[in-house]
Amino acid sequence: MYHYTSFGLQIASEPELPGLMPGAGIPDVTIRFGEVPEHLPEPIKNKGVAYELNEGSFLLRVPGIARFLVSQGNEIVIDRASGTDDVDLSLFTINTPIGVLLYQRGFLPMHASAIEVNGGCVIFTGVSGVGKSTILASFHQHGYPILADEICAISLSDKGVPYVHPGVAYTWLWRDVLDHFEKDVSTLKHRQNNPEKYRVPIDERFYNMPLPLKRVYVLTTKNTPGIDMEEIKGQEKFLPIKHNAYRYRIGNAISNPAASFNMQTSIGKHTIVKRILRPDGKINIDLLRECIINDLEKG
Amino acid sequence: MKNIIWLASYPKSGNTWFRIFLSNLLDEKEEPSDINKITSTHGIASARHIFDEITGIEASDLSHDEVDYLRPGLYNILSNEAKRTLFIKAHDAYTFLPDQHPMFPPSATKGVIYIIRNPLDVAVSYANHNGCMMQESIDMMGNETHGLCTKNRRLVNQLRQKMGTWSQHVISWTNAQEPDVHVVRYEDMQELPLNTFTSAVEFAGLDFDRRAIEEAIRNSCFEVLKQQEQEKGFKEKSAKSPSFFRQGKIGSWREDLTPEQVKQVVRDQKEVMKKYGYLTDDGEIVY
Repeated sequence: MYHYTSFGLQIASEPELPGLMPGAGIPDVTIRFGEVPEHLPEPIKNKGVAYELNEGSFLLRVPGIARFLVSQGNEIVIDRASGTDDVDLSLFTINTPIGVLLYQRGFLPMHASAIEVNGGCVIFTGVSGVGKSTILASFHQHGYPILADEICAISLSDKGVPYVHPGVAYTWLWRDVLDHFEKDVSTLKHRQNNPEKYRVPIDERFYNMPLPLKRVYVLTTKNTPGIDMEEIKGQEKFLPIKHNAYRYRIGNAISNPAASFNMQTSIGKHTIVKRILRPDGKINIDLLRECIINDLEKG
Repeated sequence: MKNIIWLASYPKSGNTWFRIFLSNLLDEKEEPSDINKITSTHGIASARHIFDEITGIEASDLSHDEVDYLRPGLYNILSNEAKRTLFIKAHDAYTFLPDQHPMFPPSATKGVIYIIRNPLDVAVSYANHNGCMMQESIDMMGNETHGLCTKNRRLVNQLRQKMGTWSQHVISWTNAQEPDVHVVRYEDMQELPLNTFTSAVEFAGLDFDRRAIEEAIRNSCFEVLKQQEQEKGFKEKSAKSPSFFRQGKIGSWREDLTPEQVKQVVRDQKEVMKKYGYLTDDGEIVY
């Protein structure tokens, strides 16, 4: 078994999961190979095209890759399809199954990327394609440590302060972004079926400790020029936090509504939430980063 | 349950206008609905975030073909969970997956309203929308492999939409075997609005009287839409285009296309143009 510490958890895993930090403690979670049924027993509480969930268990079917059974917040069983390579296996494991496991354990996984700034955590959230990983890569290139990409595991401290836990030490970037950063892609891994999206290891400046969440940038697009930024205040802060939870529909079916509300309220209370509107289409990444740095410097 | 009515069209054929009409009708307000808050229709079939949420898998982790394989299941779930008819826009052609099942599953499909427009005018509007030359627009409309969001190198907010040529797009939907298809011509929406919108409303199984339909037509007329866009912008406008509601004129191709370009469109799209009344048997262009 491989032992890791990621997402605030000790993980013992049968498959090797590159990007997770080495760990040695008593495992909170076991990831192993085994048989996974096509369907879960009734009653099914919620289902999607490729998943179903009941009380305590979640089943994901990724066609041609694997079936994943996530149970009770402490186990992921993987039924690997023949021919699935290691890149695909780790990609789809450290994805919806991990997100679901975090929900089962009472975390709020946000669909976001995260950096360290002055001892606190700043996250970038928004829908797929809006530029969360791109802005993360840009900040990293300019010396900022990274905590997470895609899934930001958030929990509350005893005092009700939201903390972001380090995720995996890589990010997935598309070819056009890597070209912008003049990154050599020849040594990078990618899915056989998705050859233009690459797994980029974060070999340096990966921040390996939980940090208090200080600021949330909600990235959105618009069809006019220029970058606009506006602070979201009061009750309105909770909506972007709620709507940008990782796999919102699944999380909604798993989470305790009162606990979710408490989590969202605490995040709203302890953080500054700002909406960034950038022009649709290709990102002017340097301009966007500079706007955010200027905003961070204002405090 | 078959709860989805697809509002299908080639881009720039009046789909947005039709959806705004429907929104005004369903909102049942006296004043025009806000064009930036069209909530009575239900988005576009190729929305990436809907796919991610309802499949449980991130589309950006999949190839275009892997995404397509899961799309029929997505529409079945949307349809099964709907409490009323969903009106969903689609720019995809009516295509089949390798297993021969249609991407838009009959099990979810209540019907199809297919909106068609003279391809000569589409060419002009499509060029403006894309910020490209007229010739490029015409070439795209004649290209069997043309589609939207087809590139692999960059992540965009919509899934790949295979369209084929303009003619292939029209025929794919209007000749589809299973769904019940009602064709609406853009030109008839302008010239015979009451009849055209009323028959579409009846096809959709909506129960509205003449007064309500007339009011929705008034509240979604071109001048109202253009004015709203000038005052508040329109979120569906392409960043490459100065405005979404540009001229809304029938026959604007006469000012913008060269004789050679007109010939090319007619040559590429001849049979379907004839079929839908855009070209006479003698080769004369109508509109």
